[in-house]
Amino acid sequence: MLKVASIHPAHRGEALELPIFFGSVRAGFPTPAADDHFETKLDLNAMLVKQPSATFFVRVEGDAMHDVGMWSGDLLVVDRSLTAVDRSIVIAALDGDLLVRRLRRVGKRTFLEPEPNEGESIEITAETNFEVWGVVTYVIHSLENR
Amino acid sequence: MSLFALIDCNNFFASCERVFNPRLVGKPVVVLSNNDGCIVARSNEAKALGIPMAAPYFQWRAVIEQHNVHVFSSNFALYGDMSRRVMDVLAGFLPEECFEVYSVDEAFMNLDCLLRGDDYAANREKLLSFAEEVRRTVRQWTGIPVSIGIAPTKTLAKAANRMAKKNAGANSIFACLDEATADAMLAAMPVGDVWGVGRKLSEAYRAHSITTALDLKNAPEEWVRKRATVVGWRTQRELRGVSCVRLESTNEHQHSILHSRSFRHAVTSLDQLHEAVASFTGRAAEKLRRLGLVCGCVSVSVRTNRFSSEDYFSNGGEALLPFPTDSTIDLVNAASMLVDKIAQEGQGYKKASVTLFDLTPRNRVQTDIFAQPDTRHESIMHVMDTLNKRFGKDALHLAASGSSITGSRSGSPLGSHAWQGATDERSQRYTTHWGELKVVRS
Repeated sequence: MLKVASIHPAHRGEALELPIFFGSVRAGFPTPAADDHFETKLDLNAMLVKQPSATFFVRVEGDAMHDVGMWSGDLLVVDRSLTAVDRSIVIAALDGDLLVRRLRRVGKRTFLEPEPNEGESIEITAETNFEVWGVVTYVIHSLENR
Repeated sequence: MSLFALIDCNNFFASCERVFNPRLVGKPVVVLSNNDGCIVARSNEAKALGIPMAAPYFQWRAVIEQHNVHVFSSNFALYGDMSRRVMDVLAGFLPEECFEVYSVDEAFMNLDCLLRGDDYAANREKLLSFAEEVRRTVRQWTGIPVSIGIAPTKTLAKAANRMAKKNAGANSIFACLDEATADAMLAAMPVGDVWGVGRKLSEAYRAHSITTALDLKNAPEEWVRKRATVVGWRTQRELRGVSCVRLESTNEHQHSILHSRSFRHAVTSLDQLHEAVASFTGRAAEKLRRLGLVCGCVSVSVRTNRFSSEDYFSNGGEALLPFPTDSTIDLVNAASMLVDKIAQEGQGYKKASVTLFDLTPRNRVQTDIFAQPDTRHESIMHVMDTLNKRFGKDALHLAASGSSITGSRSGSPLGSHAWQGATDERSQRYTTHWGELKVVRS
């Protein structure tokens, strides 16, 4: 075990924090406002995940939503803290299955529609076993191996 | 004057499974302990079939198959992540010092800050709408249903939560804000169900005709104090609405770390038992370092099968360390000495537990000039944690934990050690592994 102590592992996977400094510095005179000008690095997590405790990632299978740019194999960011409204792209719990569709509220009627919408639209009635599981906020689509 | 809420996730493990598999809603579901030996969680439908908590799986197999009960192995990666989400949502409702994570699926809140004036009843509507907002938000954001009990003490809040669960019509929320409500609630509650009353104490109470929580509340104070010490007396005062157990807010550090597992097959060789205990100690030490704590006392316990063996054997012991440490090497040495002391040859061991006690923040340790920790351990532990984080659990471990550890990862040979847990019916780790995400149809 003691031999291992001489290994110094590289910290891969941990981004270096290199703040950009915009404050002007006068020799011998600290600018009190300089700290305000440290810029934090861009964080894709913060951008895609607004509510970490309510955000789930799921994988989509099937191309019925390709008109909104969602293809089989894509990763979806789902934010359950959002309330679905007319035209939201939602994950619907429908008869025990999870299905991604566009939610439409037309008057008092509710539909789940594919995109393009010449596909089969599902009307939600009092008898349907239906719940909005979450609202899809982003599609992450890889351009590798395609 | 104080007011507490206990928020408890309904059938937590079963509910976690349902979030990702809505087909299970309304169907009986049970979750097994990590060796698939005992039933550790039941949906309401499974409870209705009479399946008791902690029942051995094999005893109920016939009932389970007959009623198409859905059976899952424990998926701790999923349950741990869902627990963190629920607690994060709850913590968002109140200042940090008003919130206490009590267990993986329970949290206390201090609601004093919501009260206006001295009259609980006048605040009733406000409290109920706050509780409803909490319940609705946790359900929407995480998919987990919770029940909420509100009362002037923690012990009564626990009892109120039990009412909220029993009373389907009460919308999963029950507020106990006056003595008449408390008495009615306590009269319907067996004394053994009171928070802090263990099996032995409840037997002693029942021997003296104290069968309900209300009996305990009304028992002579002197007698309770003599028979059940100051702990029982505190419980009695809490039942009377006098708050004695304060909120332990989460920014205080943890007081012990437990790593305990049942073995898939009985472990008969002491060498294997040593390996298992060393491995458990390693896991606990890893957590210790992650929390920035050091430990002054290690305890180890082992036992044979409680259900099948006529000669049930269990033993335990603890060791004080010469100085507080977070080094796996020091801790495994101590645990190993304990195993030598407590374990007997020729037993079939079914379970081992390692607990680290006497925890203090690393930066608050007083150094003793006579007993100095080996400073080289620090760099070794750092390397160990870094490599394990990068290459997976147990990529680097002490030789004492066995030479072919695989852990219970999917895709690796399961149970190459007899002591390793089985996870035959585990669902996907939907929230912690990219390769196991939930697939939705399009």
